[in-house]
Amino acid sequence: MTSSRRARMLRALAVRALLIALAAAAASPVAWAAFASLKHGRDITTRPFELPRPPTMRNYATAVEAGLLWQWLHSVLLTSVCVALVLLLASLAAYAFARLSFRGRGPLRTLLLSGMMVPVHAVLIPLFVAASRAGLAGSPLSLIGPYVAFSLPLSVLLLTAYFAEVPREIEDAARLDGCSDLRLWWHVLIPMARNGLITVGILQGVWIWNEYPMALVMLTGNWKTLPVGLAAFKGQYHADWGAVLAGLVIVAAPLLALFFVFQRWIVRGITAGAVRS
Amino acid sequence: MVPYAFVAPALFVFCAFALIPIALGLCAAAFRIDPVLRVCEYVGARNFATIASDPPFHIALRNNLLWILLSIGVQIPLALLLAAALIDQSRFCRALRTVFFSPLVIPGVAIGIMFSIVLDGQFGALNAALSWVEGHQVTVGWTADRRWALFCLIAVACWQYTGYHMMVLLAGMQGIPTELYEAAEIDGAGWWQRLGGITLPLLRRVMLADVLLVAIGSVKVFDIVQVMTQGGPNNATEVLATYMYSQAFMSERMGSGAAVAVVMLIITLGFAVIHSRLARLEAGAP
Repeated sequence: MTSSRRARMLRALAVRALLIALAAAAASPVAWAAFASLKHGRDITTRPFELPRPPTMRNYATAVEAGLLWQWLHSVLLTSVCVALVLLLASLAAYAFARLSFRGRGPLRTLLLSGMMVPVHAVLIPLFVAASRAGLAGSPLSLIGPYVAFSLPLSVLLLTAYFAEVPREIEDAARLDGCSDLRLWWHVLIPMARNGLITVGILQGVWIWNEYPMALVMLTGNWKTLPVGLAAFKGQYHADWGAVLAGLVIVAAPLLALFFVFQRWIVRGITAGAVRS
Repeated sequence: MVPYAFVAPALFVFCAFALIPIALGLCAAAFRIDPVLRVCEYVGARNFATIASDPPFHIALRNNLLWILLSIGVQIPLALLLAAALIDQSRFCRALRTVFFSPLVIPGVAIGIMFSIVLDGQFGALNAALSWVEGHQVTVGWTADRRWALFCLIAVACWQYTGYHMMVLLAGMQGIPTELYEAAEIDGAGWWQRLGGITLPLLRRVMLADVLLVAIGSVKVFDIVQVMTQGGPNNATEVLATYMYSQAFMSERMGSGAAVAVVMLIITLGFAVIHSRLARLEAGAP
């Protein structure tokens, strides 16, 4: 009896060790990049696995001078504008789909949801041509419409589900008192479905922040988002690994930090969006 | 009129920036578009004939297919094992889940750049580590070597997405009643027996839906390929998305690019239709 218990404990320990080893292997490239970004140029290649001695911030200075901080700000701006618009438009539509009955509700919903899995590559050429014709080539304005449009289907789907879960009693009472739909949407459903809004906001925010193909095609000028800026920075400084790695850390660290703090929301949001990868 | 006023803004933006562009993209594939972006003449299916006779297009199709198969073969089993091993709410399990999931929030561009440095043939960290293990200098070109390049890229994609599929499957597993496991444990079923006898059959639909998600994602793959190899060396890692990008925006063959985009659209929609059928089947059960 005791020997079988010991065997089981040993096995559990072995499984844990294996899992830890796997996790360490999975985390190693990021950890290596973070340490290497603090090293002097040649040490990255000649002593790849030693701690930075002494650590240097020069690589970060190079990355900042190249404008990565500006692009960071661009990404923050573009992502927040788009997420705000997505939440506004999607929650209005979701209110109608969840609470109001009207002719054409089913077909309109299907039409909107049909866009869910469309690859952005399907619209790159028409959007690029349209933006060039409209004189918007290179401008961040050319990205707001497409980003919002491509975020809407999933956001409406998820928010409709969240709104449907809010109990109707409060609204029924308010409606009797002559409260308008717009006020119900703003004063009842938005606050009650706050979790859903945060989840959807984070899901679409991560997508917009990381989006590359559309930004690459549209942002031909100096105004760049982080992914485009980072790729251009890498092209320019490809021999200076220290600077490139510092750039990587500047791009990835805020997202990872946010992830560790708001993990619950992010995991829920992204797996709720299991239809978009 | 009130309901329509609520729906109209979203529908308008969706139609203007997604639906109509998709339709225009379908049309663009049937026209010749010159380098200054004027639509010139109707050419029917000629753009499709052009790409169909272009060897890189065939390579791209084959690579996307390989990408789908290998991603499914690696990510789903690994994600399933990890989810089954890390399902409980102990601090240990939660911490490891965080580690495995975290690559998903890093931009694909950053991941591509990071791995192109790690996998560099001359000074990369992987070769340095292998040299240390092997005791002599290892100089495999990884992404520069056409035998390895595609497999390296797929491995990077697996690194990025396995944790995500672990979470998707884990969400599905949480819907399985725990009494089933307790009963099986009393009957003396081991971990593997419980996985094969309870989890797998009850998770079949979730897994099938997840397999389709991997397939759809693999058809759209762009970021890491564009950043790490741009489809090279010699088109060895060309995928539909990079081929479309290079046709339309590097070689100024907008018509051919539009035709490739249509092929991508048809393939993803095919998978998406199957996926939504499954989702509808599933809608009855949580």
